[in-house]
Amino acid sequence: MTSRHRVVLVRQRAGAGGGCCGGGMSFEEHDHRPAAGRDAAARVRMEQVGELYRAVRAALPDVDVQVVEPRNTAWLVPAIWRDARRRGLAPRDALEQVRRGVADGAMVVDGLVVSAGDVPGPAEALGLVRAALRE
Amino acid sequence: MPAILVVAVVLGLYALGYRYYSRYLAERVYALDANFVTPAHEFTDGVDYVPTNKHVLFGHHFTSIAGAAPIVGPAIAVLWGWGPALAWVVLGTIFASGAHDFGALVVSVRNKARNIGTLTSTVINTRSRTLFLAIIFFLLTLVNAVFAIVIANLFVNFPGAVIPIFFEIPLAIAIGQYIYRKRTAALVPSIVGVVLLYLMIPVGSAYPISIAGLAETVGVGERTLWIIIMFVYAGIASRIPVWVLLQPRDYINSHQLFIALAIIFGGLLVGFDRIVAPVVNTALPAGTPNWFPFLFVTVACGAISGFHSLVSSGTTSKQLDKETDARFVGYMGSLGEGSLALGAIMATTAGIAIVGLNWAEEYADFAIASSGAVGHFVQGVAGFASNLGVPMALGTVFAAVVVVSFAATTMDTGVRLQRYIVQEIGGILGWERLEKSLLWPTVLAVAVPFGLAVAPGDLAFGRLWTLFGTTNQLTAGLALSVIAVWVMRNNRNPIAQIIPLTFLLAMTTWALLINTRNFFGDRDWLLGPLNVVIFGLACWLVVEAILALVRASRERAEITEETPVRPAP
Repeated sequence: MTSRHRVVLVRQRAGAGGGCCGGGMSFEEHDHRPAAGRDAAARVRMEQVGELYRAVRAALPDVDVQVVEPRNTAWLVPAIWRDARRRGLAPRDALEQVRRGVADGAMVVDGLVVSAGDVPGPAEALGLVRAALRE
Repeated sequence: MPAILVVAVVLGLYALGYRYYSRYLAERVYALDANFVTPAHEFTDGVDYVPTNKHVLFGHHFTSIAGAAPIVGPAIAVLWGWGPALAWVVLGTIFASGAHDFGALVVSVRNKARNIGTLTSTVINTRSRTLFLAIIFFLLTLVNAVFAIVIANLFVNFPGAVIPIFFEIPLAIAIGQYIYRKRTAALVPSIVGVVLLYLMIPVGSAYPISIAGLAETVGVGERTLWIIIMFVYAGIASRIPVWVLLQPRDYINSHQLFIALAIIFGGLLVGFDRIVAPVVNTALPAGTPNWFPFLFVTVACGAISGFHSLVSSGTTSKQLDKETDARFVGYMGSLGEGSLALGAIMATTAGIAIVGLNWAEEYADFAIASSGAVGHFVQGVAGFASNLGVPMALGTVFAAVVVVSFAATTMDTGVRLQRYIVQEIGGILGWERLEKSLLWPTVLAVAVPFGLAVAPGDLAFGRLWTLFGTTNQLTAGLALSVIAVWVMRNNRNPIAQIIPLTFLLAMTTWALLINTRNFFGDRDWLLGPLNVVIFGLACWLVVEAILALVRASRERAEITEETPVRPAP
């Protein structure tokens, strides 16, 4: 991806942890019961973020969109820090973006956290992304 | 020999492996195509199928495959000397694991990101799906049994770890609740969690908990009582939603993984410690299993692990942006796991001397080496931590906490996955009670490994561990068969899969044959029959692999015959 702009969507998978030998397997592949019986909330959230992902990709095809698990701090923390500094934020502010940006459900546009907590709807999210890209 | 020199050489070999061997695999064997439309693009939904930056995906992949298993095997295998153990870890990582993890990812991507279980039925035949489920059933059973023993041994030998570990459970739940309710970031709470957890280390060290008295009252051994407690815990933990305990503890574990790696390699660098174990141990007592073939089933994870194919073809393949990224994600993931195994070998051959332990006494025979393996790792890490100024007693509890945290999460996940596998097997057999119920699969998923964990006795852990390694290698064998058939059908040379496949199957069947003879000779009526069943699965796998490869070879020959010879330009 050669785009100058990057949108990072943070979301937790509903699947397993546990490392070798147990981690990384998707529970859904083996659990054929309805979603309500298992990680329904996590799945709903994954789907909300998915909707958002599709909306941003469709509206802004030149923007690099990444979906990242909050556990993947080795990539997430430096990426937000780097983007925030590139945006011109002071170290203290960049650190604040990192603190807020590693939340499940966070949306980070070029190092700026535009949404954290509840996942916004696609239209609202697009507005937030466009505004952040203009800044 | 200075340990740091060995580490530098091994890391150099890993770099060469990535530079040259993975390039050969990428270009000549898997023929990666940057223009191939990966399932992440074909089915993009932003939920399961998401084109993901290769560095992001590597982070997901590595944290999913790294755990306690690559520590235990190498910590036992240094009994034969650090030379054979390290040679297998290095060669296995570069030539077997690299081809396996990378290949499973590519084949899955080329087959709409289907998992390896489904691929066995589509690439080999439908019968193989049952074989896959049977192998996974035994693999998970053995995983849960061996990790329950690992935890129990650590609690008995390092009672200072009990308070921090039991504190970690409500701590993780509190973090999970906080993140879930506040919809806030996990990073700061999980770092605070790690700090709070480590603050409990001096407390645990000052107030070590022994349940020997309670065990005596109940009429069981202390270790057995810990195993009972761990299975009760795992049974309950596997029934609650993942975000309550499993995921928040996984956050804490992901920090602990990097802290432990930094302490091992940082301590080694600062201390410039020497390896005290022999290169090849020639002072082994009579009756010690020969390193050929037992080394290759003792070290599974860390050299090659079948479980990685489940990860590669489970979640990773759905997120691969470009097919060419598979080289970085799949092969580099193997090198990461190999580095963990390298750390375990250094801790048990160099770190162990810092704490004043006599290596020859700690590795006097196979039974002592295997039952004490994780303890040796813990002591070795404490030694490296002491090089960095951490008091030895606290370093010991720290290392025990790290290993137990990983092992407990693996048990939680293992019991959960086993329940699903039992349900799936119930469906195949048409047993509705097993397929539809939640209770009976959970009972089975807990009871079977529990029986295995308590039955063999204190010094038989090594037997159980080699059985686990064998089953893990069979899973790898099945995945390598699938990859080899796919490579052959695509008219390319499958030698990179055939060699590790043949080697693994030869070593596992050889080890199984020896074990069967020994177990029945010792009148071990639990592990003996179990060994026979796993041997049956190995034979079944050999037959399926040969049939599939012969069929693929014939198909290739027919295609070649039918293809008209192009006239020379």
